[in-house]
Amino acid sequence: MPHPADAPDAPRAADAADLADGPLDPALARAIIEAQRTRVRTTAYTDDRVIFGVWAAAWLVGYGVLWGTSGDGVAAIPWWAWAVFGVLILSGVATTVLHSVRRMSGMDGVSRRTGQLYGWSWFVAFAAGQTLVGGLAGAGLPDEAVTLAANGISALIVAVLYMAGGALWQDRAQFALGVWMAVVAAAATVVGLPGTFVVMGLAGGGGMAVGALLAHVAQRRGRAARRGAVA
Amino acid sequence: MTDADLDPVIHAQSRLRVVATLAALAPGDRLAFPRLQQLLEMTAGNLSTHLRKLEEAEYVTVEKTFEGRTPATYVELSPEGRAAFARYTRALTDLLGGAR
Repeated sequence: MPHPADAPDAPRAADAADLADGPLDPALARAIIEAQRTRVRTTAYTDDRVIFGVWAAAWLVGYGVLWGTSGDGVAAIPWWAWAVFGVLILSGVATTVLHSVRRMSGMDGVSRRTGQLYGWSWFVAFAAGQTLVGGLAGAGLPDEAVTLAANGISALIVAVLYMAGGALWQDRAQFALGVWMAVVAAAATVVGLPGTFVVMGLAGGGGMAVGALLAHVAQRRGRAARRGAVA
Repeated sequence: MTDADLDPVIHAQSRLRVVATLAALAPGDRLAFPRLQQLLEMTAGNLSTHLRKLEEAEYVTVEKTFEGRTPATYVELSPEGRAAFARYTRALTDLLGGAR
């Protein structure tokens, strides 16, 4: 089929539908292109600010509450502090999944498939990680060591998946955050309880807050990574 | 260079919006018709008219498929469409004197 734009005497493609549009000059054309580009980037792909933001809040507040109530030892942390922590973590999961699903509705192709597999990686890794911790507890590991393992392993999973995400989407900021989380995982475990909670909250949650900030800067510059799922 | 040098298939407000939207997707991504319609705030009939013209020029591929029992239509910019859009934006930059 001949390329319509190449045919020298091709009639202008204008017809009733085009005339209804009104005239189009180059400046308006550029404005239209910019507007649609912004619209797609800000509504059809996940917003890292939302995802990093909700996890930063969950870790800062959740671990803050655990640390604040651990004055008399980890065994004395009241049930409600664990409940607050659990609710925050679950709302982080729910927000991430709902946000990704909503943004990806009607989208198909590479981003969707990549996002789905990446999303499942988180689920599988955490399910296996926590089962592993349960196994350690069952083998008679003291409670304090179990708590250390549960937190260290969680932070390590986050670290590895952030680094993998950085590689997948060619995003150095996310990769760097993954490296930072690996340091957090190691430090949180070496420090020991209740310092673990401080490291997880301030360094881990703080790192995610920096991630949200960097995502905000990228968004403002129109360079946000076009991702299909959890950051 | 004048406006007449701009690819007439793309250089019409509605079709430019369609092409610019599809070009803003990451390579390898495509959109379901209703989602594209929502991103463009166009009526289904209007969007179909413009898509037909873009399809005739081989700038977009429209695939009708089934998700379970529900029919779904996916729209994607073809490699030709991506190349044509790149030429169009270059021509636009020339016309605007390279100024941003």
